[in-house]
Amino acid sequence: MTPSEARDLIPAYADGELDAARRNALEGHLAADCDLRLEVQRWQGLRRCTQRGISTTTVPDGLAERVRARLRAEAGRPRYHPRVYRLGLSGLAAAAALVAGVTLWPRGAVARPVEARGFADIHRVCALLNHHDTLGVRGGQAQADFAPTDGGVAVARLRTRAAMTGAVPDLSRRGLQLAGACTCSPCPELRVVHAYFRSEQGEIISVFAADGPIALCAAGRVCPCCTHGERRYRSSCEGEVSVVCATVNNSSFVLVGTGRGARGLMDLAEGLPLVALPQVGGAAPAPAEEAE
Amino acid sequence: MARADDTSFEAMALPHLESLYRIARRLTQNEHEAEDLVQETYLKAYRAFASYEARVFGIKPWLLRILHNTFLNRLSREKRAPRAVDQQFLDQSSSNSASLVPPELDYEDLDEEVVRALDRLPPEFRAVLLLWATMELSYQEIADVLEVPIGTVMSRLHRARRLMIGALQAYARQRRLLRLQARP
Repeated sequence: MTPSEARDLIPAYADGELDAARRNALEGHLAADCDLRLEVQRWQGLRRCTQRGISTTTVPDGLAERVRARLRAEAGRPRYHPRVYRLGLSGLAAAAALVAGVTLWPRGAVARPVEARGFADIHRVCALLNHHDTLGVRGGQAQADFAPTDGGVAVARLRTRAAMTGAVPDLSRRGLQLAGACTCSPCPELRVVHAYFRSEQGEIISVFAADGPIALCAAGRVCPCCTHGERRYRSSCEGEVSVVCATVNNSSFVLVGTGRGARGLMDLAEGLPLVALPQVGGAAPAPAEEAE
Repeated sequence: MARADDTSFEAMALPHLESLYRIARRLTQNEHEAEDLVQETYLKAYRAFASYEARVFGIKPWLLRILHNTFLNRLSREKRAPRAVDQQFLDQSSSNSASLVPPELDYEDLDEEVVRALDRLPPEFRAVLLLWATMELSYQEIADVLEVPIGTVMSRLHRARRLMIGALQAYARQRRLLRLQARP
């Protein structure tokens, strides 16, 4: 082994990757050459230093719990026998390709960009101006359906004229009573239940429960993400109205309000049971249709 | 090979959460994307757990492989697939390698700079260096995780380390961190 060959083997030697014959040969060189020994130490130092650098990366609080929650939610979904799965795989793949080809918007886990202004406008028209109160789509009917779920949290199954059912959190413990509900959506492809709540002081908060993940947008760009408490939000300020969006278990929840600001809405949402329940009934009508 | 029991997934996989997150954090260079990547990795692993066969070195390389493939899929989806590294860049790195020996640095002061240098590496080099440095995997295990030949692992690792050393030497010269004492 020449000195040059010995030097080339230093990294593999430092990593413990040499076979016995080459290791023994190299150790002969190491015993005689101080520079080679130093180089081994430096390679090992680089590894230790990289390890230390990476170990300083902080793991987000609650990540394990969030992963565990997603796994348990996944465990609750129907599973298919592997053989059935394999047999149907090619057919499913073909069907998926067909659906992907004809569907204008990809469904599933892909977050749909939705303008925050759309939520703000619905909040103004439906919640602040009581647009639906004249149409008989009132919260009184939905309020009766507040019921605890298995997890001990209360959600409302809102039945509106369009026979949509959805889940929104119960805000009564936070001084906000359900005042109305509708299925107005900021875009026709998105199925939404919109519930609005009123406090004794007259504050009005809207909660939208969507049947898929949303990437909140403002001015043509996706809003930045931030972590607040245990959840991640996207938020936007639309004039005096603040809009925040959290995605939980592949469903998105949007809170809209005036006066609290985005932080205040996140505080309000903190700890709320944002439970995704299956929505049934017809597709969400366009706002104009609902208003007729 | 013993097939792992479904119910043991959490017990087997979750202890590696922090390691996976740290790898994901450096691969994505973004806190939120890293968390998304880790969550997606665990979901995919859970769904595929029935086909997992315990190996002698455990579940970690399997999780890392899923994480890496998911990361590459995301890059591809975002049309940011790892670009082939500029050949001129590699040639330059290779031609300089004769004069590049690991710098004599006070490594204790260099942790942050190492992370910065790591983040500047092309993704394929970053991945191999991360697995080598932080996961205590052999070259063969790294090859299994990345699904590349072992020769590719050695080649990428060699170049990645050279690039890191080049970056650290530049930093050391700038900060005058090179030790001046004579060698014995």
